[in-house]
Amino acid sequence: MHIDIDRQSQEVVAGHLRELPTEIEPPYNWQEFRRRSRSGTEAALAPVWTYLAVAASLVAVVAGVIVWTQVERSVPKSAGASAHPGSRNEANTVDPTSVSGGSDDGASPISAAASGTAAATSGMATAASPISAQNASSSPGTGARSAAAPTINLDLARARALEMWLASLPPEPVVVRVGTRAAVARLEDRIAQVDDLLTTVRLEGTRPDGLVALQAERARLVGSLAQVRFAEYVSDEAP
Amino acid sequence: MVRLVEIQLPADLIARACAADECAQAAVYGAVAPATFALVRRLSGNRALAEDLFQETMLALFQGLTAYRGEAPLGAWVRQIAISKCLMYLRSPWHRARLRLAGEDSGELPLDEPILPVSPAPAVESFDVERALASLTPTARAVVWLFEVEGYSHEEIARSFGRSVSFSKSQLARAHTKLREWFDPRVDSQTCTSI
Repeated sequence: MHIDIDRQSQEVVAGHLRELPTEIEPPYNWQEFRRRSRSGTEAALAPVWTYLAVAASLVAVVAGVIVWTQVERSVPKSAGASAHPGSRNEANTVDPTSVSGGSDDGASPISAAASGTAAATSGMATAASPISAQNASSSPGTGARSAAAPTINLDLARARALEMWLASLPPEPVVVRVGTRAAVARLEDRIAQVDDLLTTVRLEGTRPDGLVALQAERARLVGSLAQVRFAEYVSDEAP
Repeated sequence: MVRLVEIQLPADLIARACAADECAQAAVYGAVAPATFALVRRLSGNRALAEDLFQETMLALFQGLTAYRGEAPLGAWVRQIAISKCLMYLRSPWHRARLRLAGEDSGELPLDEPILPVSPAPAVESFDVERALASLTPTARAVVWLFEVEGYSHEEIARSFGRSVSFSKSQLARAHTKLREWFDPRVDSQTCTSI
């Protein structure tokens, strides 16, 4: 329920209210209003810019951390892949044959030695093959050959690393499997033949393409030999 | 003295103000500022608060002047902005909390500093009405001003406050009771019926 309003007194009060001045001097003039508007706008925008700057800094820091993490991951992975393709996490079983590299934790000293020699052998291969470099710059297929040069260098480094790993293996057991031994002997013979051909080609110095092909073939054979020896090693170690 | 709702400005002046012509904007400001400040001052009941609300109202005016379509006098449009700003403030939880802390809802509002009209010199009656109006709670003051002076209906007031029509009527009744006590303290002591 509402209180009943006396109509007459209500009109009196309303009349008093309507008689009040309809205009009051504003607190400031136009110039002051403009100044306050500008300062108010700047003050309102200042926190926005502050927040934007903080947000941008955070984004930059997060992006930097992500990039740094990716680089940290990719550097050891690529180094491991080029030096000893396929070291696994097993402490004593290093698989030199697998192409996809795992983590380097627990890799054998062979892997470390191989990774250490990889760069050196790569550099040696580049510096010690003046024939291929010279012919690559003078022959028509310069682009393709220069593109293949890193691959050859990588193959050479990989072959040297595998050879070091093979050399570090324990001597052959007295009892061997015939099939495995035959495969190993066949591969070693092929590697020896390729080595002879390589020596010949290097001495002649007239067939750079043949030299590159022989190096690739030798790397492939060494890889196959490492695969067979690794399988033999694993089977010997198994109970 | 012109009421805010009656202020009409030439269309070309408004167009130039829309085009960021500072002279035109100053002219618009000079035309509407006194009446706007009077309205805000009456609704807010506090000079410092009125200055803030006046600043916000004028900012909104110049920021939204391009949206003014000219279907009503510019003063009516400005009046709507000013009333919206004042009611938004009155409805805000922050303001309610402040009122609760200050005990303003109980009607123990300290009298504000007197308001000085532009012209003519303030009459004693006008000064008393100002004091009487300032003695009301902010909500009751806004309701009675909107109803009695600005011509709002109870439905419009209820819509503006987001409340019911009964809220508007009860606030108006309380405000009138308070104002009657202020103007004639003997009213309540006298009998209601005089035969």
